[in-house]
Amino acid sequence: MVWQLLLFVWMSLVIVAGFLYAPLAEKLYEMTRIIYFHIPVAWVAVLAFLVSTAFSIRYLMTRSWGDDARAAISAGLGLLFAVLATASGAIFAKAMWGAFWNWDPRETSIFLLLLIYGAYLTLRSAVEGEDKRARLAAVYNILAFVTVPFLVFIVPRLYFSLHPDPLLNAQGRLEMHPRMLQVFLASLAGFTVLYFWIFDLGWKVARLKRKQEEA
Amino acid sequence: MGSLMQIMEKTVGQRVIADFVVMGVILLIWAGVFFYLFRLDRKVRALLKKDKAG
Repeated sequence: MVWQLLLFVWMSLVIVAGFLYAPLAEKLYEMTRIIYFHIPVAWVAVLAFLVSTAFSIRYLMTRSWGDDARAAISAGLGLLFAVLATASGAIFAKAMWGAFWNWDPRETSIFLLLLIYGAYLTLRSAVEGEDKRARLAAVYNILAFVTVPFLVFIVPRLYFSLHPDPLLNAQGRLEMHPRMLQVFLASLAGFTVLYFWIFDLGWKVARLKRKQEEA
Repeated sequence: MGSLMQIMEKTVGQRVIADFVVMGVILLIWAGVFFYLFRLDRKVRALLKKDKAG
């Protein structure tokens, strides 16, 4: 309970620091603040997909329903955080480029990622039979994750993109004002802890449901 | 540049006020999300405890 209250204070301080402590980035002006939300939620989405894949691989080795359940919970969370990253990206796009959606390589790749993981959850709800569903979902999930590094890191860098990476890290490095970097890393840590908390909650709820079904 | 141009047309005072409004709204949203999760966590813990005892 104490660490949860600490997380509340931590994230509240990150929000306040994002407005009152960190300076604005050149050319981004007030839109700078979106960095402290958009990048951490995108990072958590990738982390959630990675955790989901790890549990899918484990399921294929152990055939334990718990591994399959945790893979599904993490994929669902990954999808949720990817939607948040897309929505915050669209708000940024509206402010910077005048339209919520431009089919920029970065936007197109995240759209494909949403479709791929949306299909994973659809597959789970479409297949009858627990073992068959878990096996199919695990194989699909592993294949789906192969596309993540490609869609998140490679494709947007292969084509010209309006995405402001060059403004923040011209040499492929994180180049921010030290205060901005502090707030950014604090936000990254906070969102990561938040993900693990929600993941743990989801796992506890799944266990309770399972026990109720078995009773 | 879209909405950014509209921001740039505002005075410094208006931009500072807007900053505080947005910060307040984000803090409220975060507080709402946190207390929802906190209550859910407590409920789930209680149910698991009850389940173990039973």
